[in-house]
Amino acid sequence: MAAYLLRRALISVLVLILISIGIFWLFRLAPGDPVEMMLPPQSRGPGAEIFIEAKRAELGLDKPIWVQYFTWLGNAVSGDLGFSLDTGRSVAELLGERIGPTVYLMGLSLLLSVLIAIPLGLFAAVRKGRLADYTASVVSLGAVCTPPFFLGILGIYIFSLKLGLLPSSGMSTPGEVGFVDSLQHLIMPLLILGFSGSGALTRYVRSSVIAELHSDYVRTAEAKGVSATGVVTKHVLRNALIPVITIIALSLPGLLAGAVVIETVFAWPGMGQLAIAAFNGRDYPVIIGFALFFSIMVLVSNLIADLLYTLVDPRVKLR
Amino acid sequence: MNRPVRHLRWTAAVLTAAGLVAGCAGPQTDTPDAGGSGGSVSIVMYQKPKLFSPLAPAHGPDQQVMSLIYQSLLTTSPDLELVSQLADVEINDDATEFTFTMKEGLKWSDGKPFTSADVLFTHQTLANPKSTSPASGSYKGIVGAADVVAGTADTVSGMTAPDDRTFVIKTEAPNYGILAQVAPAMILPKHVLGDKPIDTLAKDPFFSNPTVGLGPYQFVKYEVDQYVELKANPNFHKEVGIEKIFLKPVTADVATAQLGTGEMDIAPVTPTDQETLESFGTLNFATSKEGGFVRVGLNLTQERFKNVKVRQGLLTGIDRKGIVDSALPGVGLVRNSSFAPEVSGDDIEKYEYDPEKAKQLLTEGGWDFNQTVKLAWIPASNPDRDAAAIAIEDSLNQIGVKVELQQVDAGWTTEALKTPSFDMFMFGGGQYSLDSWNVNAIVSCETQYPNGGNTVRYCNPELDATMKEANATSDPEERLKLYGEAAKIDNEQVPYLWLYSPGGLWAVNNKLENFKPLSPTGGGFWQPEDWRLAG
Repeated sequence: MAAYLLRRALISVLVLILISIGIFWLFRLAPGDPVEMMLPPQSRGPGAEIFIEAKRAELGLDKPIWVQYFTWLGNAVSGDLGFSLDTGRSVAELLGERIGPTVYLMGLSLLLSVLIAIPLGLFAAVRKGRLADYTASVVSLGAVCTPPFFLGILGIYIFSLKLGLLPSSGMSTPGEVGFVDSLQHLIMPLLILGFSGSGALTRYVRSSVIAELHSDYVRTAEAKGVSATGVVTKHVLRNALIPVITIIALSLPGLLAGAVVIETVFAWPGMGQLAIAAFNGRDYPVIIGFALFFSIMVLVSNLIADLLYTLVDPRVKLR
Repeated sequence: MNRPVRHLRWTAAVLTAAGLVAGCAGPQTDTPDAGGSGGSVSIVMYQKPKLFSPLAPAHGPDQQVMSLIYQSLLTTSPDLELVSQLADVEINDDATEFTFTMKEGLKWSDGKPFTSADVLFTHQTLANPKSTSPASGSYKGIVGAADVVAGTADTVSGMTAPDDRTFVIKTEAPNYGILAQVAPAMILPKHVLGDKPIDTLAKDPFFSNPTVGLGPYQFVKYEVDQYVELKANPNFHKEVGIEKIFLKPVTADVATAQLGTGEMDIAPVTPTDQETLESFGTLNFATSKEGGFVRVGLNLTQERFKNVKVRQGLLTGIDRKGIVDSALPGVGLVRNSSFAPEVSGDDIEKYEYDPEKAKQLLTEGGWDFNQTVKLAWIPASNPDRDAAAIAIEDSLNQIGVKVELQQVDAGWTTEALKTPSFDMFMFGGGQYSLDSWNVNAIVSCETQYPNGGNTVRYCNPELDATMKEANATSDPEERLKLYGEAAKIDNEQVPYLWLYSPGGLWAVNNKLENFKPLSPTGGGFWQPEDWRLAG
């Protein structure tokens, strides 16, 4: 196991370096210079060129790209991800202040998605071909097909504007501190993300359970007199969830990247908004910091998925 | 316990919890119990703020917050005039010396006295390129400014503070326009920032948490992506009516909903939403004047746009009144000049929509009706511009000018304007009412982009000479007459396809008194200390 983990770690470092080189170069191919973009056309006055030259020198953007890369790499290795070109704030600080709200919202929404998907998928599978199955399929397809921003605006219209039950933005009411207040702000984005995420997961659970229901051991269990409920809950579900667990583990990076549309609609201070704003503003240090963070999460979640697989399925061995 | 009872108890527990959560308080409203002071007000920010620093490039939401926590020597009034804020100004006869006398008894929010030393510190910092402030170029023309830019001096000799209440600017030549360029800069506390090295000052953590200012409000905190919280400045020279202000970056749809729920008290809105907002029954509406305008810039390095009749023809071929009537009813104004209407006067060519005349002008100008021209703009930032783009395409297509719409982003813009590789580009903004000299930045031979705002590369020595003469004239009537002559040249030459001044429409909680609107796009707020919430 130790040798396996060491090998994975070394491969991960190499992958991260390649990703950082790729992102560093590719991102600079996008049109637009971050310093030039600080001065919109109508704001240009005399001395714009002086400002641009001084700013580029201050930010190190006047150096050759390979010098910029190795400077960044040297700092990154010691934990310094640089500073935002836009605000001058540390990239690590910018990521750090958003990771909490992102994990809070996305973690709970993933949990909710799982709590919806497993019973719904199971329900649809054991009633395959009947009305219950079709109903569950429509619900799960609706979850996949309905854009979250539409649900967000609809939710605000109904629950905030018309019914006056829930607040419409932010994590808390400005100036207020309270558990109930936080919970009220969480409900709508949580329900929308949980519902949206449950769609695809329900389909996976349904397919996986249907496949298991045709296995030999199921016929054996039934022959031995195990009840239908017992067959499903004690035997089939465990085996059917093996691929589903893997899918959930692999969705962890997406969880941490945030849901930019819902974050924008509900003014939730998440990673997704940070990434989009950084991309639109060509804020290179923030973008590459975000990409690096996301890449590490992908590698870690792949590792978790592989380890989980060996734990739940004794037929699988680590190589 | 049997299953039905257990299920019933669980259901009851869940419903009770849900009821508690949903019903406990509901969305919070911001109105106080009674009386004319205290309480809080929530205001929309149309984008997230970045940094609250006069040294940073201008960013609308930052300006909104800064207008509440900082003040400047002179500021823009709702009537788009430069008026006194921290100081009164006297100008000598030939507009080469500007003497600012600070108002008495003013204090910083931390209780320290405000003096001209703070003003001198701020302006010297802004004028020095080492501070990385984009405003350093605005000080061109002040005695000694060129030495600082060249690196042969550390301070601008033409800016002095002879005593605690006096700040003086001396210019090399008569330069009335320098007032509008530098006097609106927001003043920083020397006692907090004066000892910091100038080359790292812009990155000082103070600008993320600017708790010391001269404005009616004091910065409390910025909850990332959610709201900025401000509280009344206890050391402001007047009583501040509202105790707290929250500025919230939300989308336009959410802002509209929040105006209905009471979570938002002040928001700029689009005129087409006014009917919906009126149905809430809780809002008043106020309009603000706009010093800038939306325009289509033509790439004048392309031969096809160089003939003035082509430009006049394109302008005549766009139904600008139709755009204003449908997208900005009641607030938009069709524009026929780069200069403010008060300066250009009414006796100018109106280029009223006339498809036949447009075709004739284009033909006389040698326009090739087989060619296609691209109209680029940044979509989804202003609904009126999205409507305008489609209307322009339609109008021009009808007269045989083939237009292709091109949606772009800010990154594309900087590259395309710099090269220049664009055909037509629609954009807005600017502030040309405060002082007509500001128009120089967008039309002069000496302010060609990227070293100035003349993105279209227009150049007319006669126009430049007339404007320079106006700027050197201290007599207001004579100056107005000269700018009027410049406006006539501008009107005839059509350096830009002027579309409209958008005007601003604000929706305001009807319990809020004394709100006077400024331009929504970064104009800040006018005398918020006078706001009161009615009981």
